[in-house]
Amino acid sequence: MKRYESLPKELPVPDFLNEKILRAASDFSARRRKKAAQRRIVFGGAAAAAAMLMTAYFVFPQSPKRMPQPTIRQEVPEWSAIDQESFVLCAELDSCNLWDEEFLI
Amino acid sequence: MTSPLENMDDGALIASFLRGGEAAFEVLYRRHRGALYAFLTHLVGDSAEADEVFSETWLRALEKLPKYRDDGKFDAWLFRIGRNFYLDRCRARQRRKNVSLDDETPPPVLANVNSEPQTQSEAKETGELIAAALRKLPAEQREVFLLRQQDVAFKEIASIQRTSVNTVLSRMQYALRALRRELAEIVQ
Repeated sequence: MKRYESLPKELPVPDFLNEKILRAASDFSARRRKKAAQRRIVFGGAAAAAAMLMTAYFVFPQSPKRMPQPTIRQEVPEWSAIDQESFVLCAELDSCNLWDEEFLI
Repeated sequence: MTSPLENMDDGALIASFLRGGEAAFEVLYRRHRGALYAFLTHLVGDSAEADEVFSETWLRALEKLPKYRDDGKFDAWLFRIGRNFYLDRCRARQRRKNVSLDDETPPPVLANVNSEPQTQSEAKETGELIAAALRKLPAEQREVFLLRQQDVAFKEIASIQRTSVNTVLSRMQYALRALRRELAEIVQ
């Protein structure tokens, strides 16, 4: 096989081919970086949107239509016994014109 | 002073490149370009066509890199891509022109060459004679010889040629016999 060793195992590659291939590798790398960045934006955006929706659901009040309306109770204060007697006495006095001089004496 | 990339194996260089390290690809390319260019030049025979096959091989290798499984045989993987692309071209050309795959014009034979190369110029001439003799071989035999010259294992050559190891060994035997006969005639 000694004679066959004269057949070169490697040959010099022309410069124009080197430039072409290294440029193609650079373009390939740039395309991969762009795709990776786009994937990050898509997934990041989806995650952010999901987080915002969850936050809005728990933090902000829902529409009034769906919200059960609290029943407003108008509390009527309980009158005391003295107040009730006074009310009755005043009502009698108003109706009977008792503010004439006869009663004031 | 060698860079750390020079000491990395092919698999590590590919992984680094796929992570964005363009310098890693340059190291990988420079490591294998000479052998691939020699293989394709001797396989194809025509330097202009060999240039096209060489560049297309690397472009295809780039696209396939994300799927490359590191088994320590990156060079064989490259040779396979180049060889398959060249065969596809030959088949397409054959379909268009109905030309035989082995229809190649033999190059002129150099005269007055010693049997044992003593000087660099004699070695170069002998190399050219061997290359010329190779081009006379059938494509499969030529391919086996060239791949073996690049230290690709016979088992791997069988995988590349999609045939059995025994067939590859037969092709190598026929190739060597034909080359010896061809070169003996030239020397005489």
